[in-house]
Amino acid sequence: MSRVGRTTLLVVAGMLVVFVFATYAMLSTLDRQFRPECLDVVADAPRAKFAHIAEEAGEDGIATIRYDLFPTLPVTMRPQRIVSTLPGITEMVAHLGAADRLVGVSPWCDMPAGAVNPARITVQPFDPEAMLAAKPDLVIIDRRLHRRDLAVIRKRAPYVLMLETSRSLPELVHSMKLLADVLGGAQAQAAAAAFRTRYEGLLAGIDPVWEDGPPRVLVLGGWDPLYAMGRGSLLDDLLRICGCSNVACDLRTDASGPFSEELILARRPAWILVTSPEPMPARLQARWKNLPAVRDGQVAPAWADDVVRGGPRILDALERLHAVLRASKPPAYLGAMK
Amino acid sequence: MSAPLRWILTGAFVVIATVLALCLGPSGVGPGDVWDALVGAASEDVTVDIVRTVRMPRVFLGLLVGAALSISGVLFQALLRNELAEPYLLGVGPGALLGVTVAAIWFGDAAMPPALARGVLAFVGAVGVAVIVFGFARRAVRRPAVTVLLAGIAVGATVHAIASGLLYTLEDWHHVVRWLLGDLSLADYQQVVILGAVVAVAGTVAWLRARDLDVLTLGEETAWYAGVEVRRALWLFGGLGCLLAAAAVAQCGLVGFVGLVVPHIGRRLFGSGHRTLIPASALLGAGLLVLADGLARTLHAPQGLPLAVVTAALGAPVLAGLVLRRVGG
Repeated sequence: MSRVGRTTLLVVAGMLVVFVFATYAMLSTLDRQFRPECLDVVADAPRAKFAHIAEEAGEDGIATIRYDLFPTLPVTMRPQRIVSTLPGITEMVAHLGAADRLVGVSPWCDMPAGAVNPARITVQPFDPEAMLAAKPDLVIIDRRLHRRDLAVIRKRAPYVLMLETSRSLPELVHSMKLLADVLGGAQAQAAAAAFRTRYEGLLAGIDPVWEDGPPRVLVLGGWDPLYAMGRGSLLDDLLRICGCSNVACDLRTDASGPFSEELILARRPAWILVTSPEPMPARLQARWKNLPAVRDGQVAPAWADDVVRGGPRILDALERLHAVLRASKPPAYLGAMK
Repeated sequence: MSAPLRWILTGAFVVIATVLALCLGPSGVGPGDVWDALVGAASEDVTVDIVRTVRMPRVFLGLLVGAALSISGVLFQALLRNELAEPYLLGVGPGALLGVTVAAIWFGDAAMPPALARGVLAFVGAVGVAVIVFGFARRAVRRPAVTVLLAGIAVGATVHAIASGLLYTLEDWHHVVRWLLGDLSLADYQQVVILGAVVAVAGTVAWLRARDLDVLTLGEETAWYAGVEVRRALWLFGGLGCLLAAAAVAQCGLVGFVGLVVPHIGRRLFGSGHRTLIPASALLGAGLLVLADGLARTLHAPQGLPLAVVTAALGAPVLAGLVLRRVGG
């Protein structure tokens, strides 16, 4: 073999050795990395979070609304032409008795029936022309709205109210109170107070402690590709309130994202909640036959809109989820709306 | 380096890549567990499920996709006598993607249109685009290969835009990412069998007719004088290239760079003779893709990375190195 050939062979062999060692080093790192502590849930976390928010915001209503990005809404102003950009927000406005002030809603808004009449405004991507045509004096958005759309709305809307309706129940309860402050009137305040009272009553009635430790739950948004709901989704918060741990708790994207099938098998969820109406594909049933959730028939439908929608009916969903997880109702009960 | 040594090193590369891919994964199932699962000594069902139902079909499918794209690249580069030719640059890949997208819409289920329909429509899309692109070459009096490449870029971009637009209307960006950037996450043995059959048949036919490819690279006129039925050969190899690219796209979406880079590496290691280049490229492509997929599912876990991102990250520097080396003489 020539000198060049020997050198090439040595270099290639050296690179292979380095590559093998680097890969094993990576493997051992990953082994530590993907045994996340978040699987061992702290059952009381939602209450602590709520207390934190309440303390931060105070109890004095309108002065605490997060207006860091938007013109400060005059305390005396009571918006009469409201555009809602999400179904949950539309339901919140209606719940507070202001459905007749809605002049624009998203195409997904289907409840309550009275909110069907306003103009439809596409929100993904946001349609500024339709919004302007509705002549709103207030546009209500969720903090998760895309930054690009936020910029579009801020340029054109007189006032913008940003709520937290899609991440956690404490934030949703707090947002209901803020919205009531902005809408004004005794009816709105009473409805917001009743909502909070019911929420606190539910929290008090739910025992987050499980005899055999927190059950692991996987929330899937789709089967192909597999994508799961992680931290930052409402369902994750509902699970934590019920004392369960989310199998996809270490998902790095906000709320949902593709999730490794291998980790699903390794983490062995006791429950699978599915927010897609598609049935579980036959090939996955075969591949997942040893998963406790599949073996024990604990795959529950979670596509009822009150389960995924950040609105007042989320408390109904919480009640149903708790009943299903505690086996006092069959899995299909989760998908049944009132 | 002698030829047998090169073959041994190439074989070792594929074996090491396959073993590494079997041992790579976010769940912490390591080499020992993999071995136990393979020999039936695993103590837990979970390990067996992870190795046999997740990693193995994924690795096998990755090997086949890599081989299919590499052979397809070899065929198109020989047909056009241009080392820049590859299935995606010629628009064949986007054509197959359009077929897959139409299948998804037709069957009303973006996630899983029936595998056969997906494959057939992918092939129809690939051949349709190839016919359009090669139609330009018939009109080009001078530099037909360059004309085909430019036409491929233009038609491919148009078809890619149409397919992307249609995928976007399915209202689920996960599917868009899956098909536009490649994904092997739900590989199963049925896909392995389908793609395996296509690669075996198309690869064998191409290998048996490798001499015709050698002569075609000298020019159509020379090939004609050498006794090759040029038109038939063009249709045969073009069709095989389309079939291989379409079959790969139908299983895992668009995965770039493999069909472009691997034939270059194969030529440097084994020369330009297609009787050697076709199997060598198949092996190198299989190893490269399975390695890329192992990294794709392990890096940035638990989401993983799109496959095309990793193949580009691995392939682009290699291509740049080859170009620089050529420029440097």
